[in-house]
Amino acid sequence: MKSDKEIILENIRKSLSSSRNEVANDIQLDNEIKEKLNSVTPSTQNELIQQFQNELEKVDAEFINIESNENISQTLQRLLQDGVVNEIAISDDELICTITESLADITIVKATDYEYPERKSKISQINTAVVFAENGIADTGSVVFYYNTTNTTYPHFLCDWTIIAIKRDSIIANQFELIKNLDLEKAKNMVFVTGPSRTADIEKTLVLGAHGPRRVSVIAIP
Amino acid sequence: MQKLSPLNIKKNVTEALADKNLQKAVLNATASSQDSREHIISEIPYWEELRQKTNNIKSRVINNLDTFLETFETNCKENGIIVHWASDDVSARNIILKIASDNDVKKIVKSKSLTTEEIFLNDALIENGIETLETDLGEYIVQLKEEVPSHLIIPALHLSKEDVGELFTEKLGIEYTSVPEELLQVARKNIRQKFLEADMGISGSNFAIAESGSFVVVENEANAHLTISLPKIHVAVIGIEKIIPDMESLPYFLKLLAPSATGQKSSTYVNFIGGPSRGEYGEGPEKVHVVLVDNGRSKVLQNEQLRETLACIRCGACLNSCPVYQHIGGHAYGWVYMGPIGATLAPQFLGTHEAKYSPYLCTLCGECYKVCPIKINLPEHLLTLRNQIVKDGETAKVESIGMKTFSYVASRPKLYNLLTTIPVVAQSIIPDGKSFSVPGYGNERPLPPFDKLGFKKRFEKEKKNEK
Repeated sequence: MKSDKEIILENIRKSLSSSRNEVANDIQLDNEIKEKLNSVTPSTQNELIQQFQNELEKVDAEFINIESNENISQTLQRLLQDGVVNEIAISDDELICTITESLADITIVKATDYEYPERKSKISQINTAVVFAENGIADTGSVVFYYNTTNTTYPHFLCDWTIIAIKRDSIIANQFELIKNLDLEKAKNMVFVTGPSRTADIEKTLVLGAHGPRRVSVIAIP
Repeated sequence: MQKLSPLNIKKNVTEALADKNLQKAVLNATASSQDSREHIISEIPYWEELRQKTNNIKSRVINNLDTFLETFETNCKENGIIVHWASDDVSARNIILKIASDNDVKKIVKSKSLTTEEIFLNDALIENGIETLETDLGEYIVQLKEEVPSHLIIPALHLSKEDVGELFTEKLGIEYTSVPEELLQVARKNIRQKFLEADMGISGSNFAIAESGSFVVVENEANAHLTISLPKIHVAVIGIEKIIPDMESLPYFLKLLAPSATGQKSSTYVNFIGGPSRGEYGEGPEKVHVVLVDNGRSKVLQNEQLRETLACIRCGACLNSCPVYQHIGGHAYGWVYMGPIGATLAPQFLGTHEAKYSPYLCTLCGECYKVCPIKINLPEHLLTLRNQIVKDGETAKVESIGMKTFSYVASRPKLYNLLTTIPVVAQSIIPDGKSFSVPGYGNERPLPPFDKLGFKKRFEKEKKNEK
């Protein structure tokens, strides 16, 4: 008896046997897209960061720019105090561990200190997360998480408020740029995140915090 | 669960047109979707080029689908993804039931997937004693209501917030509220608990990437990410037409999908799944299964023109732009895929007998073609399919006799002149302004009164007036 795979492939080949349509090459089209894309892409890193901020704000996220390394923990401390936070979940990155180390009066829960299934239930009980994103995408206001650098996406997805730290020079123009420079092995499991989780499933009314975070703050650091 | 068939279209349409609340809901939602779409695409100056580009990419895939599928399978395996092939819905259901029973699965969470609706997966899982929960808010609502989605992107588009409030009171025992924020909170709390308990997650996929052996799930709520990352087993049910060649092709599609679907520049989450991640990172699935579903798709390839319809990325833009959909909503189409794309796929998937009415749910206004991000020529394909339906003898006898008679009369001018005076005479007997319904159409479409002069005399008169 034939397997389903054999049946499907055979059917496809039979259906296509009359002719397989040829498609002209895309050289001219690619150039036109590139040209028009360039016309709307900022040329300096500062302008890119500005665009990134604008797009983030359009999708209901906050953007905080921190000029010097010394101010990172201070800013974070103030932000958490304003939000009356006394416990945070963090991802397992050197940068996040460093900037959260000196936070006063805040319990730090490192997601990767817990094995599955404790990890999911533990993180699910915490309201605020501080995590690291590998890249920012300026023209959509997205951040990119790779499993292999963060080792966990639970803090971002299970907490109500996520504070995302991102390096300023890792903000790139668009998805085309990102994919072009991607280490495919590293990026096998990843996720682009654009603002807080949302739904408009009831009468098209936008509500934030569908199943993921209600509030997203992005901190750009040197 | 409702049993669907496009053979019920006439009855469905009559009911839908009588339901003023439904029409209000659908008109409001589609108008708002169209507005936000137009706003966003005005910021993308290379929109038209993107449409052509993605059409080209999809065309290359569709015309070499066998090779692309084999490449996808090979590369998935290399990433540790287990690939299954399902020629039809029965086979797909059996594969998924077997995965569930092999792993002693009791509780499943699902993120939105039309392909799983197409193969009636939920019914099969529930019949086999497996708790199966839809986690997308809209899907959760229609599942509670024991209905099917009425829109590709906004499943509960046909319901008002009051409807949802009443439903939650009845099924979940909460105090009545019609405030969307409060309704979401109730759903979120219930579903979060299920996420944490589930031992298997099921999703669809928007794009299956051949070269990287991975797949992409696009969403806004974060329910798909949780569906993928919390349970120990993940199953992605993917139609064989969802293939794209490589990662480099993906941004072209992503740039079109979110504006067309929801009027966003980017969807909130674009999830990439490239294999089981539990071993390496301590979370995410231990096992990832992909079920490649044919279920009628390979047949669609037979016609060189119509095969383009497999390029659809299910954004729903054609539904929002369609004057027919705007008035009858999604359920009237009697199938899981609705609107212009549903009417196009139905006869190709289900055959011209079962879907003999579907391509007629179209005014040939051409709006769907204008808004289709992949530039699928839906009106032309709908005409081709109408032609096919006539050739297959699926039109009503009276219609076919009528058309033959008309063709005979119209090719004989004298006879034509004589016979066309009959309606004019008949009109003078019918009391003023009264008209009657057209055979074969609903009562909502009365025949307008005939002109007292008849076409030829009217034409002569107007010509004289113009001089």
